[in-house]
Amino acid sequence: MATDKIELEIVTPKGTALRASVDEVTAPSVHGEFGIMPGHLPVLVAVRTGVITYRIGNDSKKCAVGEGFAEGGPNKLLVLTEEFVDKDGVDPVSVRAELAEVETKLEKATQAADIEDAAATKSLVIRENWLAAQLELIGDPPPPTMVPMDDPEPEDDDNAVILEGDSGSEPSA
Amino acid sequence: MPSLKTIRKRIGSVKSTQKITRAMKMVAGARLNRAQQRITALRPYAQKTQEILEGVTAALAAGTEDASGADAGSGAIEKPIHKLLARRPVKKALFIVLSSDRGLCGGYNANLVKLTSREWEARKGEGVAVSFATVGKKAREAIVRKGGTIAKDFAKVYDGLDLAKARTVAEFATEQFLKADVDAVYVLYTEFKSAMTQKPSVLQLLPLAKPAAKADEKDGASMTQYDYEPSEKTLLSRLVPMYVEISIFRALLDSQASELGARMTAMDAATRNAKDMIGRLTLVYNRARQAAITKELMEIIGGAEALK
Repeated sequence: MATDKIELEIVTPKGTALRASVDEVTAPSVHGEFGIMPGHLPVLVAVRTGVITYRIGNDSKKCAVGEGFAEGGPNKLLVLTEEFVDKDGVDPVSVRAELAEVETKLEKATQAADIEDAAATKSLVIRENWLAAQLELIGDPPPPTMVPMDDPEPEDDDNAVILEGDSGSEPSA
Repeated sequence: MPSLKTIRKRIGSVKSTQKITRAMKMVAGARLNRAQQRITALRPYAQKTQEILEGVTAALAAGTEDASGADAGSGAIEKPIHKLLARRPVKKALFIVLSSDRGLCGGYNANLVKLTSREWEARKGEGVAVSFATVGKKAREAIVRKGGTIAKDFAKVYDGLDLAKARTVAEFATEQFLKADVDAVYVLYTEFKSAMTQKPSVLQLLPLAKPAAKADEKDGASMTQYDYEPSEKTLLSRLVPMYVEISIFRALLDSQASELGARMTAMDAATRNAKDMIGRLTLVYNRARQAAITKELMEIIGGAEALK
């Protein structure tokens, strides 16, 4: 490879949030976490809400991202996400306050067990995860009552892809 | 000739109208700047999403090529790789019309409505039933006047326009499509070219246009073979709704910028016209004043003459 750096780029609907030349990136994926170092095979990964860690030399930095996708090549990692914040951008007071608010709402929603409110609950969960990720970034532990995100594999398979005889050919990376 | 007082009043009213139009122009200009920035900011995100989507669809399509290639010619329904990519014979279509809530923006809404009627007539000719979803008051009113059925109206979308608001529109469209209430979804919006030119356009939202053909043109070297995590189909089931949202968001942003651009142009013209009008009225006023003075002088002279 020509260079031993990765061009990390994080793009949100509000514009390019971050562009840096880094040595190593670790990002949350729907199946756990994945790390990219220079020379990595091209990958396309679904990104989960969480904290991305990247290293420049011996300097390790962090930022929080929302759900999205990441496209990685030998010398680049492009992250497409709806949310982005770096460590300085987090306002702990307001984030904590909002998280508490979302928690109570979620608790009510789960108690009521409204099926019709599934969409609203889902957006609350997404919000909760996003807020928790911001707190994680500044060193707070996630709230004990946190609701995990849905399983990324769709249960109703007909909603996704109709591929017969091809289901076994998933990349076993 | 109108009296001096009426002309004076008229000038006063034109002047205050001019003040309003000038202020509206300034406000539209400032907001247009912001709207334009948002469009520019969204562009890389939208582009990359599309690229990734195209890559994944192409990869999936390649996997099914053997199966679908045989019956493609026979006219059998092609097996879709995703439900939102399913092509059905179009019997019912949904038009999502993005207009503005407010007027005073030149031909902006009129042009969009004209395009809507044209498309509507064309669809009617093909025997396609059209239902509408509207964003903005102006389109809703126009379509109701023409006797269209409004399936849904989205109110107050432009105040604090963000991705979440685009999502509500996207969800509605997706739901209608998946329930097979409609077989195709089109977005009618105004494409923002520049502050001076806007073009009413139609965008086919669903089923998503097939990108596979485009991918074929690319040479093999530029088509990177990715490792997917999770599987392609799971990725696709997340990518497609996201792409629909982004497309709507983009159209909304374009419409908003176009509205502001159209308003700015219209208000600029109005301000200039008001200026011309004030000039003309001032001329008339001065002439009338001159006439009145002359008349008065004549009367005085006439009176003095009579006393001799």
